[in-house]
Amino acid sequence: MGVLRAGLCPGLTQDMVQLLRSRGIKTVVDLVSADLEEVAQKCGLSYKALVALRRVLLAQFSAFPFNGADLYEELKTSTAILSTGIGSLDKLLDAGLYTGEVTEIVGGPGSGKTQVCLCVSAHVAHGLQQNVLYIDSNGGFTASRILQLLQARTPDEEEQAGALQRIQVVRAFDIFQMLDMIQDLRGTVAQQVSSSSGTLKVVIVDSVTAVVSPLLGGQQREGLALMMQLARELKTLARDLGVAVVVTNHMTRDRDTGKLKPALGRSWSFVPSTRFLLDVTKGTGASDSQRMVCLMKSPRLPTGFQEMVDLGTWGTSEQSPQLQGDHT
Amino acid sequence: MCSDFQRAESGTELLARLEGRSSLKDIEPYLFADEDSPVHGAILEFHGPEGTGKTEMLYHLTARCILPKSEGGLEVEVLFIDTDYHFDMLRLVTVLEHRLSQSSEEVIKHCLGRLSLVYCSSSTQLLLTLYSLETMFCSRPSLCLLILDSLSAFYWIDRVNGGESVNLQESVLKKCSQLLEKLVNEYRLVLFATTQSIMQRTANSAEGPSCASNRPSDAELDYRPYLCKAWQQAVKHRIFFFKHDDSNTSNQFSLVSRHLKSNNLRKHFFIIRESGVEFC
Repeated sequence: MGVLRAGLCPGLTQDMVQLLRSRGIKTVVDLVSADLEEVAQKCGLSYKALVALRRVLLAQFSAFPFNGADLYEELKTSTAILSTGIGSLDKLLDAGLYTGEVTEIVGGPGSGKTQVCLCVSAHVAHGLQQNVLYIDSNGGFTASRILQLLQARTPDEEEQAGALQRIQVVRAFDIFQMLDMIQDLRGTVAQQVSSSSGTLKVVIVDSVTAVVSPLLGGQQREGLALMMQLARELKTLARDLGVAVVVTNHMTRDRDTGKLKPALGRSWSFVPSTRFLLDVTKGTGASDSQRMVCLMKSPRLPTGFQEMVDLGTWGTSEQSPQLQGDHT
Repeated sequence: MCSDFQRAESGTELLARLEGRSSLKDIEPYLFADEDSPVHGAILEFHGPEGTGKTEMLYHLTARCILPKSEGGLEVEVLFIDTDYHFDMLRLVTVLEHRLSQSSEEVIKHCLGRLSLVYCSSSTQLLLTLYSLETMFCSRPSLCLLILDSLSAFYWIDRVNGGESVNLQESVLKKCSQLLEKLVNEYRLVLFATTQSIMQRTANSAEGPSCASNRPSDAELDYRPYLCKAWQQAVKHRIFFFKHDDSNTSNQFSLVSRHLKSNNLRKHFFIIRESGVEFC
């Protein structure tokens, strides 16, 4: 979208392009915002032809309005809520991860963000029988841990193998690789009619900080622009493909107050629809594997509510008696 | 195109048609009760960091407009332009369900029929879309509310695409602002646009909103103007949103509304429930 050239739309010939360019009208925006009577006089083109051309260009390049009722009908059928496999987390998220939205997990080092991602992958692949794409950017994904989570759910090896096949892992260590990956994903999904082993329902990016924070800092605008481009790609991915996108983010200290806050700054803070914080619980009586989950941002629930989750029992039914005695 | 359409009916007929458009006072009487004359053709900016209730306020205003008159609404149409895939239809439906005395699928769909949604993926597309929407404003007299969420979504991308010249970087947004001003004035619309607080505060600024007696300075309102001058000049009312951090689970919010010409400042408090924004 931009420069006028022959064949850009029906009715735009090379001659017209030359004539317009000689009068300073080079882009679509120039033509649409110009006074067409004046242009017709100066360029010697017919007013009617210009009006028709403007109409065609607008129809081709502007966004089309949707009716609210139609959109609601469509969303009712296409939105799904995916349980994370962790009961208390589901409660905090109003039943689970919503497709069409970006959810952010934020926490300090060792707080369990990757563990939550692995648990969600295992649950969606095995419990919900849907596909998962795991984009790993800091090397935290281990297949053996996924296998452990699956083994705790079912002793049947075929089921475990089936679930493992539904989880696709790709590695992207810089932002350009990640953007390419997302483009490729859209291409492959567009070509597939339906896969026999389920449809893609969750895309996990662990972590987004690893690829974006090297670009930020200083006075560079390019880093922020790339970050916003990635944000846009993730949101359109969630909306167009009907998947739930989960991203993990680290914490940094605020430079004025010294308090901990999610990394990547204010511009990124607007991107996810939902954000929850994983915090290591301190104090007596709390075992090493327990974490406090706090809802920090939600489009439908009041924030600030907290739940306790236990890393040791993840991947299993939390009431499972034999495992509670076992974990260290 | 549109000018031909206008010539087909007389000027008075056109004015009579457009006069019927709701004014700011009708749309939210609590917030704009102190407006002396009904304001047609107003541009209001919602500004604030994330999580402060700007989008919820937009749902509240949308619900007020699209609900039928029998349920306390205005029964007018709304056009919602979404630039960052932020609009949550299911949340709007929840708000409507709680505000209707008898909510059924039929009634909800009828209300939603008055809402039009447009998704824009770049500032150039936003500009072209505004041009093509001109016919919609012309031909639908019941369309009186235009919502743009958010205007600052393309800020960083535009700055990089414009190269080194600040003028070039801002040129598309400048054209958008000028076009919005023209559309709002010509068609007597009310425009609510949100802008995000994406800039760091200045080095020596107070923590939060001061009490209503002292006039909060720009620094305290956490406002650093970063969008183009054309936009700053087009805005009539700027409304700043804050969230109160008193307790962990508080859902208390406040907003400070500043009328830019008269420099009038007003503070309002609200909470957010299942049924949406409720003023305290």
